[in-house]
Amino acid sequence: MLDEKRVRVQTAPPDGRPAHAGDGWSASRIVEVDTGAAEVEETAIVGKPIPRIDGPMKVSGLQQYGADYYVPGMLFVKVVRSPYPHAQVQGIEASDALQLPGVKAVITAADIKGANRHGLAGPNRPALIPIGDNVRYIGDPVAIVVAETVEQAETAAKAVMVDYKQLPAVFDPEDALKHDAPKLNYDRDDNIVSTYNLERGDVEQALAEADAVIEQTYHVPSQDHVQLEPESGIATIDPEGNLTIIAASQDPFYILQMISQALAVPESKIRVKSIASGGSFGVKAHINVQVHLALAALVTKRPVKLVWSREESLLVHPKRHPARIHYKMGARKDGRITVIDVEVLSDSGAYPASSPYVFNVLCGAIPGPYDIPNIRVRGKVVATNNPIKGTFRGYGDPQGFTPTELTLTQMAAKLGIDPVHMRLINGHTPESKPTQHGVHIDHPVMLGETIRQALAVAGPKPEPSRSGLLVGRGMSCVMPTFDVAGGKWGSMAGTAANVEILPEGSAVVRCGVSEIGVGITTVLAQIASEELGVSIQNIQVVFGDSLISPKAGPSVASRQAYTAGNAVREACRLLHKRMKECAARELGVAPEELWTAWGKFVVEKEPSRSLSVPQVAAAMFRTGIDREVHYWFRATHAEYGHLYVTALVDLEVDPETGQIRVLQVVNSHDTGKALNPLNVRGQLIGGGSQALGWVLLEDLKVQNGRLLTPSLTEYLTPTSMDIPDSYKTVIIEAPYPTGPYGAKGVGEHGMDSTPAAILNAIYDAIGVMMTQWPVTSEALWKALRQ
Amino acid sequence: MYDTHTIRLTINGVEEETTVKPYATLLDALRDQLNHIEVKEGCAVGDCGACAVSLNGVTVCSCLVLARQADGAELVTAAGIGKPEKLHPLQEAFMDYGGIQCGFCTPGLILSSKALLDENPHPTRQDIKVALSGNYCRCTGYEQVIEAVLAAAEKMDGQNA
Repeated sequence: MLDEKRVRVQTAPPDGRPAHAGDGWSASRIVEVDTGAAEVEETAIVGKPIPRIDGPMKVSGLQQYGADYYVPGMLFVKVVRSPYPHAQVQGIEASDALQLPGVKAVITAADIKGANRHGLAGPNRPALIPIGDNVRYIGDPVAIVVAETVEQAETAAKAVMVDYKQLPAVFDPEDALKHDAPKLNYDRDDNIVSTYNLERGDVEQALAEADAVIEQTYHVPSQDHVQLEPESGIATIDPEGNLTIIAASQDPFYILQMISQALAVPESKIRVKSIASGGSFGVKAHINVQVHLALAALVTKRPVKLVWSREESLLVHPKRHPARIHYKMGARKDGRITVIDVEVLSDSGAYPASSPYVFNVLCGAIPGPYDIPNIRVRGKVVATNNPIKGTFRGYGDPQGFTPTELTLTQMAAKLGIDPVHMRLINGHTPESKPTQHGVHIDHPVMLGETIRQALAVAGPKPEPSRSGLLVGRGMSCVMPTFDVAGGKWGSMAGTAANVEILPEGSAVVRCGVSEIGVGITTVLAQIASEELGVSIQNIQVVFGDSLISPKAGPSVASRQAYTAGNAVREACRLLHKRMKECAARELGVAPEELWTAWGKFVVEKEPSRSLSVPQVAAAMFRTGIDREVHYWFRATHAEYGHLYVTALVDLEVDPETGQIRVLQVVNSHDTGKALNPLNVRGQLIGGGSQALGWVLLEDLKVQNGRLLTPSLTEYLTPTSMDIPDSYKTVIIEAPYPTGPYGAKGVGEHGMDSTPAAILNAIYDAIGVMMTQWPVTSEALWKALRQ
Repeated sequence: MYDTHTIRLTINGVEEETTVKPYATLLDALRDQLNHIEVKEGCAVGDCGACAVSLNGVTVCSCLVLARQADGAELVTAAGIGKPEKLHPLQEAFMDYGGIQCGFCTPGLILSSKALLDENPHPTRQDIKVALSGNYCRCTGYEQVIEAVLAAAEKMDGQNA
């Protein structure tokens, strides 16, 4: 198979780069693979490593984030939070606080006119806990203080006296299932948030008939996002009562709806601007500062600002769901996996912020990219008084995929089969029926290709750098999904874009995506430039503004390159058609007599007669033709697209100290058309780096609901000293039939593929499978001595 | 309640003056009073490096310096290294090599990289890793940042030759 593939390594700077561009392309070790699966659409600007349009602002520090907004006359907000994991609020006494200098208001649930609730999985989190209700975790908001300065607000927050009656709390999800556990759900008389039950084939018989069975329990940990920008923003209110909230999020339209319902303000009177985000990774899919900002502005009628400290951010925002996964796998002698029987128990924390959805993905991901005839996956996610769990890059996929990859690797060892061969013989075929919700195999299965390319760029397994060290190589294969705006759920269903050509020939793209750092606005500008014949420098992308950029849904689920990409491309194509018709009228020919080059329209039989895009735009203005197109994109073929990723990791272990040095990480990704390979590579490496942190460093310690790693001094994420010696990415351009130019999603997938490859490499090096992580030096040292 | 103090700073070549409380950090003074938003606050306790500035030629976390201690100092921020209309080769390299994603850590990374190249125009990959080890970045995994610094060093070397 490999011999049939053309592997081309691009070394020359491609076209379409600005004059100052260096030779970044050749240095970036991107390997493009032409799979021959179908024709990849040829493009001039799309598909090129164009530097980001927001780059100049970011490298000079002038990009504004929430905390960078300073408005004359603004007040500062501080949130009063629960010090207890579970307690009833019996009273709130604000009179002392109100007498302190500069204090303008102390606001409680009694001041809220609306439903006082928000949440991705239905509005279930109170904006402020009312008197008589219970706080459910350390950090639950009880009141907000508004004052002239930050210091005054902080001082006054400490002076708000809340009368709590402490209640029994529950921290272990198994304890939460007991009949005498304190009840935390609002709408059920137990602590179950949701369940998962999947059964295919005859699991019992398959286990009895298997040549080998492996049984193992994995303790899959939580993780904090540690986005560099702590949550922050401002809100203003005009004399007519129109609210504007300016804060980074992943979906301004969701935030708008939640504020409207929670505070009883009509949606038409709320504007949410989801500005540039200093990192998100899922955390800003949830409401953070916005509802408190809106409330403070409504009550005080003044501009207000709220910036969370890092400690507040770590305490309060929803984190990755941990899971206890009991795994049984049965296989035949020849390496064919015949059965898996898996039980999952996860902890939603105090509120099911997004737990039913994440848990569904986590459990659905468990069979991975493999065709397994007999499957049983049963699971529960339950409420506890621990910090809230929510959405984090992968959305349950890393927790679901990883145990399967670890078990498969051990099974290969037990059967004496090459683990690569075992992955290939069990991999999906075009006839496979994946268990992930809303996914059908509807385009060529690239699993084998990702494996072959990963091995090809990885080279041979390295030798130890000195005697006494142990080298290991690990692989992991996954089948992540990406949303295609085909779902039935309101927010995800459909994505709109508006494209306008201005009379001088420049263009504005309006699309309500959020720029959370991935470079989506650059990709949308590339698409508009490609389709309209307008240079990127003359395109403005207006994003994340609920009032002027149309609804794009959330920037989650690796979806916007596909969904917004399609909406912008189709809007541009309709507008271009209109431009062509105008050009034809101006030139006195029929539109089909025109030939379209980039930036101009040429009479095919008389090439000396042509009109440039600016000339056509001016003619549209002069003759009264609508220069704007609004397009609504919604996929009908599936709810989710899917693709394959193979990660390969080499590492070296020092058995004397337990230290791990990661030598190489390879991610081989079934990208479809890479709309901007610089961005694709960034997502794969960035996701891989977060995976490395999750597996080797990040130890989120919680005891009795209290965070024992409350700051970045205790909670360690990777620094430049922790990264692999070498990072290679392979972009496999097998087009997705309905993707813009054949593109698939990519944002989350390095996080999905890399964890198990690291753990399998440790297993290869030391012969012990680490079933819980992070694998710190201490943990590894102990494992070697057991 | 507290005495305030007037301090003078030269920031990116421009003299500025402001009044600060005794406990105000240099970070607070730069952001809240002098409108230097290119200095970012990621943790306020010296863990993340987002607030890095050059203080009399030494790269420091401005959250760990009291504003009064900096009285009379020469400061350089990322905006002083290059503005959008005239970027420094290092800043251009960050763009060309994908060394930026969300951009929140970028000003600090630019500051630390510039300090490295000023001292060592021909750094190795290891030199760069050490020089950037005080700057957290959660998006890039540092790889493309390191590539950018290597490329900038090469380009600047060519320009100086």
